[in-house]
Amino acid sequence: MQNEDDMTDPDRSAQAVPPRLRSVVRAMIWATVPVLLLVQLLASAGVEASSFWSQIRQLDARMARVAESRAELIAEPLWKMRYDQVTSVLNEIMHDETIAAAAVYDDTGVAIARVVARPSEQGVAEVSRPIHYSNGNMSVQAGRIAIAYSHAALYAGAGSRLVLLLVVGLLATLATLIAMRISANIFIGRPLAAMMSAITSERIGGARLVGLGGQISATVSAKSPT
Amino acid sequence: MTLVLRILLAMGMACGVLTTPGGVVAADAKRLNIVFVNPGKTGEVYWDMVAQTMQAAGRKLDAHVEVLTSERNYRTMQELGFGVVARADKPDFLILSNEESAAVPILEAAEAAGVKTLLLSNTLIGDDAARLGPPRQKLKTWLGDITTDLQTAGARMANALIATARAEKWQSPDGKIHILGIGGDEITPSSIARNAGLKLAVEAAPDVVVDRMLFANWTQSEAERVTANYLGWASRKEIRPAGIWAGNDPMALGALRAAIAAGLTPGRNIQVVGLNWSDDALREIKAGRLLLSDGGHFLLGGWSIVLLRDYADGCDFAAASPRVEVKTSAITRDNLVSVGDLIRVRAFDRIDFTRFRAKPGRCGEYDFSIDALISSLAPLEGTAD
Repeated sequence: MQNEDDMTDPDRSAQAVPPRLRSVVRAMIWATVPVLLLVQLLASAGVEASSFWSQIRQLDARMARVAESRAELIAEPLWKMRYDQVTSVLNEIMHDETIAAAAVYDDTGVAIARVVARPSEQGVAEVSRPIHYSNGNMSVQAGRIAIAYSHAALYAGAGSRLVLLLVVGLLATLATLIAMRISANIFIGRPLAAMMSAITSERIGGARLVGLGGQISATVSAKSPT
Repeated sequence: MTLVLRILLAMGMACGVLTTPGGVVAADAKRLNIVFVNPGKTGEVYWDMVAQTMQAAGRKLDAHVEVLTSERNYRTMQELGFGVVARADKPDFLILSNEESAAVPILEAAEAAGVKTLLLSNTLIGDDAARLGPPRQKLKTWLGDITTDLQTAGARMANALIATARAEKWQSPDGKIHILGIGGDEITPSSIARNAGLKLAVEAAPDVVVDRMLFANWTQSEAERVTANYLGWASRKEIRPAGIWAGNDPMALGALRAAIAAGLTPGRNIQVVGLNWSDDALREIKAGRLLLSDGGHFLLGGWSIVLLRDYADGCDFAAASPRVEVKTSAITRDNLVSVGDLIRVRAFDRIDFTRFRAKPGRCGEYDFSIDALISSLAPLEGTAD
């Protein structure tokens, strides 16, 4: 029957690792690996969180730009009551998958065009911009555009990346563990084993010398005249 | 005594024959050959009526009017024009309309060929006008142009709306008379002129506000849609719409439909005006739903023959100006009976075009008003009594 140490012992028949040495290496690994894993996971999560919030801010800024550009585009057809054209502009922005719904309100506050891509879901944010119409003679606020958009895709992306990071972290930790085990055997276990072996040999050699000395003294005392 | 009377009678007869302008065509007056290159399509109401009034005037004024239709293709129009000026037997006059500035090369070719030209309805604009200058300067054979004053028409239509709204006290809670304007487009000169007329009238009326100037591409369906949107908006804003000004009759008819759909009663609690003297519009005027239809500019066809007849007979319209601008007139319920049948059945032979010729010594002075038109009309057959 093989134990876990056998798997990592390159020269197990020649130099068996003593039990005390095994416990030292194991203790060292158990003390190091959880810290290593925790640090890796925390660092990855930190980087991912930073990236996530950056993406959220970028999405918010992009949606604000979309609302502003469409407000400019819609101003004239809204003022000239070409509501079909207003709806066409809204339909065009619905190709963006993050946009859940969009609506244009006239100066009485009534929605004169509304487009919904899918039913409202959680994590929906809204951006709203006034629509200003101006020509050579006048400048008025003709209405307002509101765009509801979802962060769900970002949340889902961040979640899958975290899972991926966890798996990669675990694999890295496992690889580190194996590497530590091997290096512990090579750089610590073997020298220790050699030292232990030497010590053991020395002990056995000393015992033999003591036995040999007793025999010599007995022989000498028997041969001498009393 | 009898001899004296005979001499006086003979002198009187001679004077009657020789005094051609302002009367019938002189017996020795040359028959004119006139070619009109029609820019419109066959069946296009306005241009068909222009050609028909030309031919009716030709029959009265001893002019043969040949109409060549370019079917709304300006290349065809140019080919037709070049073909006319290249003829061996050249016409006395060539009438063109400068739609899309397509008449300019024909004018220049006619100048080279020595054919006299007259521009109708659309004259030179922009760079062409700057390059070629006024009539009879660089192009000696370009006699002039005859166009309509559509700005005054637009203002007259607006003033009619305003007067009715004031009389009926159709002010909104803010004390103002609210009007919707529906224009054909924002780039065509004839549309710009009409819209400018509306603006002019409203600027002179501090109690009137044009809530919106909407554009419906000259079509009834789009006018109906934008009017419905406007009426919904006005209702939400608690505005009482008093009138709808439309740049042509089809748009006025679209506005009527939208007003009726919105629960209004045109003629009773809102007024609508249009422009074109179209048959459908005249029917709505008769029914009391349309306040008026301005127009009559298709009569430019007949008036152009009057100008050329006078010119050929030595009474040059350029004595006043080579640019003749004709005022349009409004048809209301008051004068509908007089001209309704004329337009409905296009009985333009009822018009005595000889009565519109310049009076002796007053060349270039014409009265093409609706009153003059009505008084020139021969009674309908079977209705003389």
